[in-house]
This record gives sequence, structure tokens and C-alpha cells, in this order.
Amino acid sequence: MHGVNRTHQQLRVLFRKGSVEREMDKEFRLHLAMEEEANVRNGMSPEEARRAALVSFGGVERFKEQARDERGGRLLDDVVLDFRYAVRRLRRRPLFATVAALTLGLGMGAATAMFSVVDGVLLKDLPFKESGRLVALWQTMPRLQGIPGDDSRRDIWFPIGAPGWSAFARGYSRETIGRLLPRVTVGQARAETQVLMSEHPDTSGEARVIPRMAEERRGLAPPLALLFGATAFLLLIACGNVATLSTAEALSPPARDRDAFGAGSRRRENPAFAPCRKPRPRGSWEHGRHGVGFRRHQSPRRPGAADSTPPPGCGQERHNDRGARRTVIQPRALPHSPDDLLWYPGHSCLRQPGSSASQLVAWSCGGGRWASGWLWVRGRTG
Amino acid sequence: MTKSKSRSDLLHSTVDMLILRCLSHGPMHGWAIAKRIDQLSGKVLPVGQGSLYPALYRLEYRGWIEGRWGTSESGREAKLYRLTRVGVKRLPEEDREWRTFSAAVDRILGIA
Repeated sequence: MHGVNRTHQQLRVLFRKGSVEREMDKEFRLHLAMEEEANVRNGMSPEEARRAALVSFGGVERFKEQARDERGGRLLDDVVLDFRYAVRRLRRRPLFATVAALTLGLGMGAATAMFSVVDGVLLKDLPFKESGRLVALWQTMPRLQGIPGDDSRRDIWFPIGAPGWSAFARGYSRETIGRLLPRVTVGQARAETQVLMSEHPDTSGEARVIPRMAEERRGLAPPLALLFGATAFLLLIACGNVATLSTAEALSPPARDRDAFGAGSRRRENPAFAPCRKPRPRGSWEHGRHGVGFRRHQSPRRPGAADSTPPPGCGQERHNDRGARRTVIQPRALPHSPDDLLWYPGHSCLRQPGSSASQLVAWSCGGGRWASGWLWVRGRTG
Repeated sequence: MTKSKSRSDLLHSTVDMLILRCLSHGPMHGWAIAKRIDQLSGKVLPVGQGSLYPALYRLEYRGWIEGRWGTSESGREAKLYRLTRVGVKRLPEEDREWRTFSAAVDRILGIA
């Protein structure tokens, strides 16, 4: 029963994330409201009560992030986010995406085609009943004699159109196909053939019993195996090339900052998602991993200090380079430490209590100094 | 406590046990749990109020507690947590582990 509940919860997190986030937000706001009321009953002013409630609670966003890590479904959520981010990045680079797709497609296509040949020739049984027990009786004789053993055998086939002996340089040859009896081995058949040959003193020549499947494949196995190995190696090279190109781009400093932005606390432990610590160019537009863009505004300041200089164009609606409407948000002094607001899921934002506007502030560490930025938020403010 | 538990596991286990103990008296919402821990400990335990919620979510994921939205004693809509059958069985085990650990620490420090 618990397993069912857990699965239900994880599916809710995956497919009804908005509802789950609203519930958590509601729960946290209720806690703060009740704490604030208790503080007011203890004689504090409303402003003091509010501030004391926030201080005693701790970092709201930080605990929300920890709660998301604990509630389960984070792995699936991260996989879905990764997939969506990968699609967005590929759409921004059509040439790279095309080249990667062609490279992988050619490699996989060649390997698949080669494997289908190998499977049909070497791995599958012959399309006959109990083909593992089919044997060929190859006889060569200088002159025609009685056929040894055909009265005691079942399931014997002679080639159509050439029922008799085929002439070759040294005499005559004939091949017949037979199916061994259920408990007879090839060795026993060979021994019995030799006995039958020796029982007919007038016959000469030789008779060999050859397993039919092995005979069919004997000449084909080495070249097919070589070809398959070559195409598999080719696929490996193709995968390695695409992986190298993709990794080199993903680990570049601007890309790492984009990837780190919006990552959860556990993902940030992964070096691939850790923010880059080199100073970034000022004024460059970036598009965050989770659909939130931000513009870097780097200035030397102490951690936690308010950004007293509003960036240019604050509060105005602007258009980004793709023509989409965005609004520049002015960073404000934070009631909490920067850690509280450093990372957040891409589609939620910090809402200042009592404010009708959505304000989104991000802090990133660059070169040992705290830098503030402001963010594009989807849609309007207010 | 097992030897393999890390320091964060130890802290998590402590908070988990406190929450299970509070909920053994009946369903509660998060603020009430925080106040109860604060009250019973005489404001000694430095358990931040916000840190209860990751613990509550963790326990809910394990199946030891379950949370449902309902009406609190003050008439507000709140998420009330209560012990499940697994949680009821788990509480004495957590209690026993903590007492064993606490006695071992006391012996080392020479208090007992």
C-alpha cells in the first residue's frame, strides 16, 4: 500500500507539479502566518512579528528546495528537465543537431544492418525443423555403388535434378542431407558410416558426415565477424565524437552557469552543474536552464549588500533577441542571506510579501565576489 | 544508531524521532509540531522551524507519516500529519536506538 502511495506521489510530482508546488507554498505561508499571529499576541508590532516569524523560520526557499529533494520524484523531474533543456539547446543549434543526428544515424544504421546480416547467417537456425540435427553425407566414389545406410535412416533428401552421382575429376561425388535420430550424435553417425563402408567390400572412396549448419557457416563466419566488428567500432567512434563535442560545449563556463542556474541543491553537487567561478562578461544575455533568462551585472560588493544602483531599463518592458516580451526586474534588498535565493526551480519566483509584483533576484558568485543580476520573468509583472 | 550513519543522518534521525514522538499524541500540522518540540524541550533544541518541513516530507516519503489537508483547531485549512501503522511500529525502534546511542555517549563522557 505504501508503495502505491509513493508511486502516486511521484506521479503527482511529475505530472501535476504546479499543484504540488502550490500546496507546499500554502503550507509554508500558513506556518508563517500562524507564527506571525503568535508574535502579535506576544506584544510585537505587525512588522516586528512578520520579521521575527521569517527569522525563526529560516530561509524559505532553501527549505523548499530541501523539501523538494526529500519528497521523492526529483530524479524523474530532473530527467524531464534535462530532456527539455537538451531539446531547447538543440533547437538553438540546428547545424550541430543535424550533424550529430546524421553521425549517430549513419553509425547506428550501419551497425544495425551488419548485425541483421550476422543474425540471419550465423545466429539463427536454418529454416527447417530441428535444423540442429541436419547432417550432410558427402560421398565420393570412383564408381557407382550401393548407397550405404539409406534403408536404416529416416529423413533423407537428395538434390532435385541431380539424384545421381556428380562427376568430378577424380570420380563421382554425391551429397545427401539427413536428419539424425533423436539420440544419435554426429560422432556416432560418422562411426556407423565407416562401418557401413567397410561392410561393402566392393565400395571404395570415402564418406563423411558433416553437420549441415556448420558447413553452411564455415566459410562465412570470419568475414562477417570482421565486418561486424568494423561497423561496431565505427559506431563507437561516432558516439565518441558526438559526446566529445557535446561535452566540450556543455562544460564551457557560460554553459555551466546556464546549467547551474535553477539547479537543485543535490544537482549542484555534480561538478558538471556547479557554477563557474570566473567573472563573466558584463551585460551579456543568458538563457537559464529552466526557461528563465538572466543578464549578468557584475559589481564588487559584500555578500548580502543591497544593490543600490538599479540596472538601466529597470521596470520597463523589453524584447529579447528572439522578439519575446520580457520585463526587467529590479533587484531589492533581501530579507534573507543570498543562499536563500541562490537556486530555485525555473518556473517559480520569490514573491515579496505584500507586493503585487513578482520579483526575481539571483546571485551568482564570480571570481570570489558576489554579483547580482536581474532576470527576465515570463509574462508581466504586477 | 548504526555505525554507518553519517553526521547528517544522525541529525535527521533526531529530528525524525522528535516528529514521530509529537505525532504519537494525535494529528498535527507543521507549526503545531514546531511549537510542541519547542515547548517540550524548553527552547533548548536548536531545531529551526523551517527544517521541520524537509523532515516531514522525508517521513511522508518513507511512509511513516501521512499528510492530508484538513481543518485545524483554529478553523484554518492546514495539512495535518499523522502516524501510519509503519510509523507507529517505527517509533519504539527509533526511541530504543536513541537511548542506546545516548547511553553510549554518556559512558564515554563519564556522566553515567
